[in-house]
Amino acid sequence: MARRAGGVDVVMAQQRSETKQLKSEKILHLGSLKKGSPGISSAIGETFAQAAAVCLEEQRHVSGTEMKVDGDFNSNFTLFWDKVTAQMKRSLADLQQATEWGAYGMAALLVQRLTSLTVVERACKGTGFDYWLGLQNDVGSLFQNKKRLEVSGILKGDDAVVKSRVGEKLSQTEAYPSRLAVFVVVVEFGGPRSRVISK
Amino acid sequence: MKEASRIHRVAMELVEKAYLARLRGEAQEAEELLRKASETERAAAAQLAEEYEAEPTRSVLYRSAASLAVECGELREAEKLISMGLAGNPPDEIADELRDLLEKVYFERHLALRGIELRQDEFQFSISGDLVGFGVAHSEEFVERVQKIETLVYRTAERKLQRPFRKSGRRAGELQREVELYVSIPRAASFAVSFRLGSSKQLKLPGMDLCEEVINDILMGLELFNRGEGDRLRKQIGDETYYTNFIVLARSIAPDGKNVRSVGFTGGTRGREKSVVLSTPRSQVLKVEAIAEVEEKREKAEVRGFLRFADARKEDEGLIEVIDENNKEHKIKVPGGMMADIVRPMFAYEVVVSGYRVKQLIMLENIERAAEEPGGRNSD
Repeated sequence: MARRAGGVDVVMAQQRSETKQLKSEKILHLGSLKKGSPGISSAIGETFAQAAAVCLEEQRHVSGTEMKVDGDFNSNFTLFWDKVTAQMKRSLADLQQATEWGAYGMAALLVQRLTSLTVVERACKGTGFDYWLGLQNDVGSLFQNKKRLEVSGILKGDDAVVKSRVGEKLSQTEAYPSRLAVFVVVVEFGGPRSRVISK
Repeated sequence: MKEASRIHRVAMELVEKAYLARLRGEAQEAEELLRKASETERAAAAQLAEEYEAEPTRSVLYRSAASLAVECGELREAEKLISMGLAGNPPDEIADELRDLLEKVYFERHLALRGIELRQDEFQFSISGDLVGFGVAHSEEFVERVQKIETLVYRTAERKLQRPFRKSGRRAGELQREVELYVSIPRAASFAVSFRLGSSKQLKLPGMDLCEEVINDILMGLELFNRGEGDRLRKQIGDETYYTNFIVLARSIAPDGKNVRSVGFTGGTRGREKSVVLSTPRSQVLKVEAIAEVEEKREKAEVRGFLRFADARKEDEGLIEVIDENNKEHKIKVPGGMMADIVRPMFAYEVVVSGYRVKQLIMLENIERAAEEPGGRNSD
C-alpha cells in the first residue's frame, strides 16, 4: 500500500523545481491566523498568534522584526503582530505552552506562504494536536494523501539547537521504511529563525 | 468516510474549545468539553472500524480517540481503542505511536496502587522503559534514581525545617536518624517500590507531620518541574540554592527517553492519591540557567572529559576541572546547590559538562556521566 501522499508530493516537487521562490512579498502578519484554515479554527488561530507574539516580545523583539528561514526554503520574512496586552501575557504565562502554540501558528503561516499547502486536518496526539497538510480544497478524505506537519518550538537557542531539533524530528520519521510524508518546521523565537524541511 | 469526517470535526472543535477553556482557567468546563470530545471521537473512529484499507485515517482516528480517553483518565477505554487501532493495518509510525500510548496507559495503571495501601509517610516510585521489564530493571538505572530520591527527601526535610542549605559535611545525625528512608521489596508494576519515611515527635512541625509535608512538597515540586513551571517552583521552594539543587536532582531522576521512558510517583492515602509522571526526556526539561549578568555575552560550551579536581571552599559556588582527551584542562564554575549532591559523586568519572563560556571559565548548567564509547575510556 502506497503511503506517500501522492498529490501533495507532486505539488512539492513542482515547487522545489521553481527555485523555491516566494509567492509574494515577504511579510507575515501573525494576525492573519485569526482567519483560520480548514484545520485551524479562527479561535485557536488567534490564540496561536497571541502565543507567538508573547514569545517574540518575551525575547525583546518588536513588530516589524525580520525572521530568517532556511532548510529546504531560504528566505527572510518581516513579522508583524498586534500589541501584546497584559491579559494576553497572563493567560499565556506558561512559556512552554506559549512556545509550542506560537510555533504551531508560525509553522501554519510559513507553510501557507512557502507552498500551496495549508493545514486541512488535525487529530489528537498526547495532550495536543497533530496537524496534517493538504491542498486548500482537499478536505474530503481526512488523513489520506495528506502530509504530516511536525512542529517544534524553541524559545531561545542557537543554530546548533535548531539543527539538532530538526534532526530529532527527522530521525523519528526516517526510522520507518514506508514513512508518511512529513513537513518539519522548527521555530526559534530568540533569533527569530525557522528551519523548514519537506520529506 | 463522510460521516466519520463530520463527526471527527465536531470532536476536534470540542477539543479546541476545551483547550481554550483551560487557558482561561475554567478547568471544570474544559474537563466536560474533553469528555464530550472523547465520546465524539470514539464515535468517529467506530465509523471506520471495519474499513481496514482506510489508512492512515482509521488508525489516526483510533489514536486520537485513545489520546482523548487517556486525557480523561479512561484507561480501560483507551486500551480498547489502541487495540482496535493496532488490529488494523496502521502505517509503521502510527503503529508505534499507538504502542507508545499503550505503554503510557499501562504505566498510568501501574501508578495506581492495586491493593498496596500507602500510609501518609509513604510514596511509590515506578519506572518503565527499554531497560525495564515486568518486575525487573537495569540496576544502574534504578539504583542511581533511588540515591537521588534519597537526597531529594533529605534536602526537602532540611528545607522544611528551615535549615540553611548544607554545602558540605554529612547530614545532621538527628535528621539522619529521624527522617530515615526505608524501601519496600520491588513490585512487578513496570518496576515499582515504596519508600517510607520515619520521623520523631521532636522534628514535627507545628500542626503538621514532617514526613507527609516532605512527600507533598516533593510531589508538588516534581509536578511543576514536569510542566516546566520554573517560576512557580522557585516560589514554592523560596531559596535559590535549594531551587538549583531540586532542579538538578529532578533532572537526574527524569527519564532519558529510551532506557527509562517514564518515571512515576504516587503519594497520599487511599481516596486522596496524587500521581506525577515524568515523561519528558531530561534533555528537554527545566535546567539550571547560567548566571543572568552574563546573558548577553554567553557562548555555549560543552566539554567531555574526566573530572579530576574539585574545590568547594567558597561559600556560594565551587570550581571543578575537567581534563579532555587532549589533556586540556577546562575550569568550570559550579553554582550553589550542585556541588555536594550532583558533582561530587562524579569525581574521577568521565563526564559531559554543558554551560556557557565566560572568559576562561565555563558556567555549569548541566553535568552527566558520559555514555560509554566502544573501546571504553573510563578510568576505573
